[in-house]
Amino acid sequence: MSKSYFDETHCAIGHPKSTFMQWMLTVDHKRIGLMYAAVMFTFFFIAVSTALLMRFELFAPGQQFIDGDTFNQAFTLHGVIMIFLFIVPGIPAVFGNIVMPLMIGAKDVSFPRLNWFTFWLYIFGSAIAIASLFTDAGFADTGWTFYAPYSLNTGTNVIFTLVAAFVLGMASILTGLNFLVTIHRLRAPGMTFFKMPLFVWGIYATAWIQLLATPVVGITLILAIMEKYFGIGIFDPSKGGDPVLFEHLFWIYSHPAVYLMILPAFGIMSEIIPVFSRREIFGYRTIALSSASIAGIGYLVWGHHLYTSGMADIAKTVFSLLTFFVAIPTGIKFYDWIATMYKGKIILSTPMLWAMGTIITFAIGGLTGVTIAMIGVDIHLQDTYYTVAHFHYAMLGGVVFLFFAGMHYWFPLVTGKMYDESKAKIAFYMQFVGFNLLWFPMFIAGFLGMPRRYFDYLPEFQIYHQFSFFGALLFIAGLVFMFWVFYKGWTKGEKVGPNPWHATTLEWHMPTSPPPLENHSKVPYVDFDPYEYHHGEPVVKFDYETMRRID
Amino acid sequence: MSNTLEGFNSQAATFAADVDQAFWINFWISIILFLSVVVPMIYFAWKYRADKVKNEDICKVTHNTSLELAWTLIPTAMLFVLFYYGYSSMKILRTMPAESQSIVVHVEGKKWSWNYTYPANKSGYIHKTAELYVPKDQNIILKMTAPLNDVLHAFYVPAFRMKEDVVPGRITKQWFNSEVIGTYDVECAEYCGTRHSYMYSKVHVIPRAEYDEWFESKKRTPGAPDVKISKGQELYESNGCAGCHSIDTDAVLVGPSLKGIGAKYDAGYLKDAIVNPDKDIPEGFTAGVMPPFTLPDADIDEIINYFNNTDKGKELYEANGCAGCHSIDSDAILVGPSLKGIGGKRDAAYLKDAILHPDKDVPEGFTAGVMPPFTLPDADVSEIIRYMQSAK
Ligand code: HEM
Ligand SMILES: [Cu+2]
Ligand SMILES: [Cu+2]
Repeated sequence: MSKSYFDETHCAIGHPKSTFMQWMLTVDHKRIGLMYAAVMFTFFFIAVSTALLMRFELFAPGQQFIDGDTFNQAFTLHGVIMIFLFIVPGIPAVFGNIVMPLMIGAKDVSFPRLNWFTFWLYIFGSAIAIASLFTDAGFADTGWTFYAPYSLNTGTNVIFTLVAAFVLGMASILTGLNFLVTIHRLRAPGMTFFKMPLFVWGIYATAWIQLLATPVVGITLILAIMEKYFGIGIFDPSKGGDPVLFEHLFWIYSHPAVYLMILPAFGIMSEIIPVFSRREIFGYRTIALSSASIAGIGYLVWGHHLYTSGMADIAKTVFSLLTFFVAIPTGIKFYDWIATMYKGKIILSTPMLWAMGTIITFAIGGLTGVTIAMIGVDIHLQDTYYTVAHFHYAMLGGVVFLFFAGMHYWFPLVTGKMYDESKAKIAFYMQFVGFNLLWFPMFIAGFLGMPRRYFDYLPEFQIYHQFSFFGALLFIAGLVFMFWVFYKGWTKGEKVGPNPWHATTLEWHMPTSPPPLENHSKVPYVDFDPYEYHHGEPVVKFDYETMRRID
Repeated sequence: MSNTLEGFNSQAATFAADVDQAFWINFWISIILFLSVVVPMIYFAWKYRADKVKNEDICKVTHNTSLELAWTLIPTAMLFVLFYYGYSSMKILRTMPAESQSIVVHVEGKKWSWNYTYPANKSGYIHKTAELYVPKDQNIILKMTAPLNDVLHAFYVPAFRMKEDVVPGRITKQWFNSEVIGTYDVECAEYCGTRHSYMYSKVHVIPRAEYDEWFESKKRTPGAPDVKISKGQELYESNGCAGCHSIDTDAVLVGPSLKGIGAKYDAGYLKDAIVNPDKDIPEGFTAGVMPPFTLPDADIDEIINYFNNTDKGKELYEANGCAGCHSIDSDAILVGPSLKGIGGKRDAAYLKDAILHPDKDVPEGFTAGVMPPFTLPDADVSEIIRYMQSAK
């Protein structure tokens, strides 16, 4: 039997014999992607457990299980892990690594050693963040936003978290750089930008954000550290600094960062919809260019986080207007996806279910985002649970759901096996229902004036928190079940060939399943569009040995 | 503070209706946009489900210019309607009325309490309160800030749909005009640490007459029973002391302000100063201006009692936010230890230290660094201590 990337690998240093060391030192993009996934989902589960702890505490007003300070550390831990350790590396680190080079017919990323180094930088940064849990001062209690002057005054261990976020930012920049160069330099001959699969477009747009926006947060974090330890007086009002400046700097990065999370996720959507509709995607160019324009305009809207921070009305107006401009390309993509389903042949496999479920949840996340882009309304809803529900709909119901969609879609590619479809569907329904039960009531609570980051609340809000609690239980049960289905699939699943979904893009044209170490046997020549179907079957067929077209 | 939801979903400020209108327009447009995506999706998924479609029937449209224009332009138009309403409601919320036609109240947010300072009333008295009292149908401008060594807070009144951050070192403003008599919750909406979720206050909208009466009085709150004017105060006023010495403020009228004087000097000195003022003239004042008063000893004692009044201490205790972290009439532990009966346990010097340098000696079970050091005039500290000693 031919060898897959599980059997052999290239290493950053030397040729170690032990399998363990081969994994630690591997430069193979597929293995690195898998290792990211393993570490990221470990953190994800820690953050989910922390969320569950908060949900328990919020089950009733008053103090139940943890005190106020612990609660504050809990939402900080939850937010920091979810954002910096999980969703910012996110889809690019996992599928950008595993799938993107395959999609463009490359043997690896442009700088495989740098990729290896970046992974370990990520591990190092995460370790620093987690280490502060075990120091005397305890994990930071600032919220994931580190607003000054609270972060400068608090006695908890903010420095670890700041340094960790900085290091993780470095890793993010390097990933972006690597992917940019890869996409520019390593596309198979014939593959022009408009012949790239849309997931590659998503990764490409994201890479620019990683490269250009992340340095801003790096600088901000350094300034915060200098302020805290040397009192340079930039943010600290007692030294003449300005705390609102911190908010601006923070969001100049963190707003584009939300597009950095969602664009690759939209890319996954654009892969799944045509494959499971068995027809070419509607409006390919519009979708590609809307990713690019979202990435562009996304830099200019950060001020919508500061409507109540003390900013001139004219600035608010401009930021609001620009924010509405980002909503337009996002909306157009939705219509393009739906139009792709028109007169297709819709196959409701698990990846398609996740994609369609996400269209519902992300539509809610996006439209409630429009609510709080409206200045007057946001003045009421800012920093309430309405906002918290909005970003959970966008990040969990958007990015993470599509991440899961991608995990189902590419599962056979990565493992060469298939999971149990019917069980996977049950897991989907549990999570879909649980998620809505978990977060929808919070829109109402927020609308009625329930502020965020409240450890205790007025009794009238209890009913919403209780729905939410049961939603969380159902959601988390579904989540655990889904990972169990993956585990079973990987260990006991049926073996499948290279292209079980009848997909068109290059990652499905591998000589073996799972793919071999250096990917395609020969570099293919790409003179076709990414999603060409005829009568429900892929148009382009390859001889997997020679990578010549045989259709 | 008791936690009850008061008036959350009512429109108690003039602009609340505009904000709500903007919200509901957004709500219905969102429903339309949502359905325009989700209904066709579900319909297609059903209509073109795999077992109903023959491969030959799959259609290949990848472009349709008029359709694409429609789904670009129509939602865009809708979005701009929403932008407009967001903008117009903001305009109403953020266009401050003229200060001359408004009551300007200074709001201080600090870990973890709110306090309000009013302009001086006719008799020069300045109300400083822990809850906000405003007359109905009146423009109120809030000028808000936080102490320099404090953190961000946000002054949020859900019933009014208004919110603005309170930033140390800056003065941010909000305004409102409430048409509905009632009591409304104020919440802190910007994360500020341990007791962020207890940083409540209230806005009381009361009838004009009631407000005016309170405002011109020295009553702590409009509902409060008349401050019984003590014998001492009566004597202080009837003997004309008040004409030359302010006692509630630091203002220098003719002689020095007597604010907090009781804490600075003992009774003997004060008595001398009344009976024989030229014996010891404070720096900056000249002898011979104040006439010697010949009053019965009993009266002098009453006046000195008045100097020592402990109500002041209570006011300071609340206004400085001590009450946010330390209960004083119960044993409940909020953030710091309860101060019930503390006067019997610790002497004044210790208490003073505990206010000015809280981390010097932290009681068992509490951590240093939680309570901020307070920098208060000695007189105020003495008042607070006297209050703590009197609260049994
Ligand atoms: C199991 C699912 C989840 C549950 C039950 C959950 C629950 C919560 C809760 C209760 C809060 C605190 C809200 C507050 O007190 O204001 C919170 C905050 C937050 N969550 Fe989640 N969450 C979940 C998943 C996620 C995911 C997937 C992400 C992002 C990838 C995320 C990102 C955040 C962020 C950024 C915050 C704000 C933290 C802060 O205020 O500093 N959460 N979540
Ligand atoms: Cu944003
Ligand atoms: Cu607060």
